[in-house]
Amino acid sequence: MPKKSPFHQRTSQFCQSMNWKDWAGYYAVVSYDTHHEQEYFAYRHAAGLMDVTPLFKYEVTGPDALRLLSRIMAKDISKVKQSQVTYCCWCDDDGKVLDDGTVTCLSQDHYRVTSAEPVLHWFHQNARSLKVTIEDSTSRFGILALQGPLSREILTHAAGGDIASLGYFRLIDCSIDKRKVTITRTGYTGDLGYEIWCENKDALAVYDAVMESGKNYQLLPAGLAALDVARVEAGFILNGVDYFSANHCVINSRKSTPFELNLGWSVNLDRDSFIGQQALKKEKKEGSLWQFVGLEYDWDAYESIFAKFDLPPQTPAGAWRTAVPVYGRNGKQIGQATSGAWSPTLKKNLALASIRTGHFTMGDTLQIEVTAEYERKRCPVKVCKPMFFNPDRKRN
Amino acid sequence: MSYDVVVIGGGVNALTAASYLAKAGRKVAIVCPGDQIGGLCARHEFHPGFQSPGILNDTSMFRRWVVDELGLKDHGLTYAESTKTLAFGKDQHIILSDQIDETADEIAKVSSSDAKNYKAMKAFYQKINGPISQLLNNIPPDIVDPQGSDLWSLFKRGFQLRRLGKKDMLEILRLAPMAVYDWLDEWFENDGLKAALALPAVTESYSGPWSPGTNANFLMQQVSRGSSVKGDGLALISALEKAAKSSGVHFETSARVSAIEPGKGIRLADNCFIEAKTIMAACGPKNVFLEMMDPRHLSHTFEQRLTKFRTRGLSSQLILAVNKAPTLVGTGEANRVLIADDLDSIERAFDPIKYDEVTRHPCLDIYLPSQDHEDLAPAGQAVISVLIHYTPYSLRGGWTSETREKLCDNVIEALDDKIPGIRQSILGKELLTPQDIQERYGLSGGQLCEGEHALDQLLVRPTPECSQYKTPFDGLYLCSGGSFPGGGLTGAPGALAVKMVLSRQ
Repeated sequence: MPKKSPFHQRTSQFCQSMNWKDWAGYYAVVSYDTHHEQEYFAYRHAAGLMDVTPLFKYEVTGPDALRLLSRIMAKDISKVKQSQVTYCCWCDDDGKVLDDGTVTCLSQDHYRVTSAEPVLHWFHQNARSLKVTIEDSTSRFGILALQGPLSREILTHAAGGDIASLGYFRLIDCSIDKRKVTITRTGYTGDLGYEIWCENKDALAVYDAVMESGKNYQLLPAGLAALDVARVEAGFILNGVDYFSANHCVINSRKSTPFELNLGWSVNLDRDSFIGQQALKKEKKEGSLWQFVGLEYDWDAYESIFAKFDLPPQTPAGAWRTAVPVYGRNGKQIGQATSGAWSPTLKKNLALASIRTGHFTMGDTLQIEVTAEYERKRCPVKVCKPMFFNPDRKRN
Repeated sequence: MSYDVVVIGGGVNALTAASYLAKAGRKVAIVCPGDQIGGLCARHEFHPGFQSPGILNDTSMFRRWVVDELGLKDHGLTYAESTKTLAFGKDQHIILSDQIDETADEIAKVSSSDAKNYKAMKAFYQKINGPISQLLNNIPPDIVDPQGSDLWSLFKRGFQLRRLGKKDMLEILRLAPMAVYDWLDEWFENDGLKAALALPAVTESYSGPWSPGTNANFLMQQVSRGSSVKGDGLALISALEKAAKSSGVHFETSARVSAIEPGKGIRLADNCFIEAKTIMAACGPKNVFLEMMDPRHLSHTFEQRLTKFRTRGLSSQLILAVNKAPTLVGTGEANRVLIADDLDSIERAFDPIKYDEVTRHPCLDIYLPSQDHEDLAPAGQAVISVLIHYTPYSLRGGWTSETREKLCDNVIEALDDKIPGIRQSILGKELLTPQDIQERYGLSGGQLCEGEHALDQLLVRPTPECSQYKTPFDGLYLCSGGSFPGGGLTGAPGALAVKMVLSRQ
């Protein structure tokens, strides 16, 4: 049976819909209400509070902590300053992505890693002869994600400390209701937002204090369904949906490299050896087979597909993650859209897709498969960068 | 200091490789970690006035073609007229020698049908010797990522095998994966004989005679054996050292390598840097990559393969200083004595190490060096080297003085049973457990062959990347027993690795 997070007493109290799922072995709320719409709008117009405890968390400590992470991560972790968080991915020898997550520098010899999948074994395998300790701290901390345009005000109210000047991907240690917490300005909604780390024993007090502070700001407990829509708008990839960890792929063609996932910016090739360096250097030189892009549906065309059956246009209620084919100009399949959603904020139908290099340029119109009245149709989509929603307040 | 090639190690393979390279006109240095050249055949004083002859002494598999190509006979190497091994079974003993008829006559004393079958078995090995020797004395084909030349080589090997005729070819394919127990059981009835033949073939891997694949090692030994060098390991080393010196090889002893920088050179523990574009490592693959190189330079896959290369030590050595040379039954000529009642007793000696325990009744492989090397012991006295099978690397509860003493006692009791009077003649002793062997000789896990001789670790050895002495690093080559065709005093890895180096320069 899934475990209960340290916030479970509260989340279960608010989860009237009883709509739960198993996230990495924990009970996680899909939506508190019968529909996630309110929670989505909380994320986008006020703030949503989400229990993200199930993220895998690791404490990498010791004099060789940086050496280990420099060897594993595709990004140069030595550039990460104290109290800074960075987003990165890590690969196997062939440069295929194993997982993505964050690395936080707490001190010279203490780094914290979050990941979507367990990584203890991988880290240990690569730590031979290094003076480093790797602790799985997943069940030691509770994490709350407070996301949305009003999150700064709420947190300033709830926490002591200078939240207002906390920079993007930075952290501070402060307190909420006299409990020690670590706050990072990070999140998975593509908006202004924070993540609050606390010890298990302080979890409920911290939760209550944040909810109390959010009373006048329309703060709502929010779940995974709303988050999924938000992350598609932000163009954030999801392990197991938009790509598959090389660990789980039976065939090579299923694996992806950082360049193919639009994560080339997070790869630092010219430095000391790291896992996958040779392969990635080669790919950088020779080019990638795939590109990760955003797709915007042509709404008029979409409407007319359904109109032919005397139906109004139907969009899925939430984000979808069942891949559908994408076709090129000559009608042949050139890739697949791996997730998508109707964006209530942008009023657009969106998808994230992997398309073969050489079959398109940005701004091109491709075709995506749409099912209308049990029939497979093709709808024109415009190729764009995979970041549909990117407000200034996210960084500033 | 700058050389064309620097060879790391001081044993048979290091000396062989260095001599070949020097003969090919290269400026060569040998960097030997110990204060004595010789590796596992290096002497050291273990009791005042008494010297150990090292651990390895069986020179019967040292390649004749290496002797010829290096001209070792010009440097004092001669062959013993005959090599005799006294094998004790239960209530019996047999004297085995490298002369087939002589051995068959000995066997006839315990079983006439075994004597006949011994000749037949030897004839069979003689018949299949061609293709197997071809395989064992050439650079192995790359079967993981074969190129054109590998495919041709594989084809040639396959063709040679096929030319033996369908029956013999199928027989080879059948026998290699067998347990040596079953194979010997098909030929012989005498338990003591079977044990004596099997013991040397099973003690190089983590296996007993019932383990599948042990027959491949037996086959390899049977095909490779010839006459022994007169004076055994010590004499072999002496000839190799003279040959190397006469070709101009420079020797650095007591030089521990702290870092290998492929293509550039090596750094010693005293921070001295020796420049060399080519580095040949005649030390274990694990030592090379996991100790002497920065882990960041290894790919994850390669590192994992190396850590999974099995190097579990199984044997301990007990060296005894005795006040008189032991008197053996039957003959005074044997310089090797085996003690193993039957195949089951070998298996029972193997069983406990799986649980990090040690058997109460070890099987013993004894070497009596003083007949050839009187300088090892004071006049009239002698040294006895006993290899003890099997002993675990990590004994449960640890190798304490108590457990060590108990093991010595059990060994001496078994010795005394077969060679009466030994116990009273002991003046001093030294026990080297696998841990001590690792400590003294730098062998990973205390594994005497630098890697277990298991079926899967013979042809692709130590890893697919390095199966042809090459490594993922330009200018770095392997040439220890951790490479094909394995450990022991054969000289083959050293010689074949040089052929690979020269073919690429």
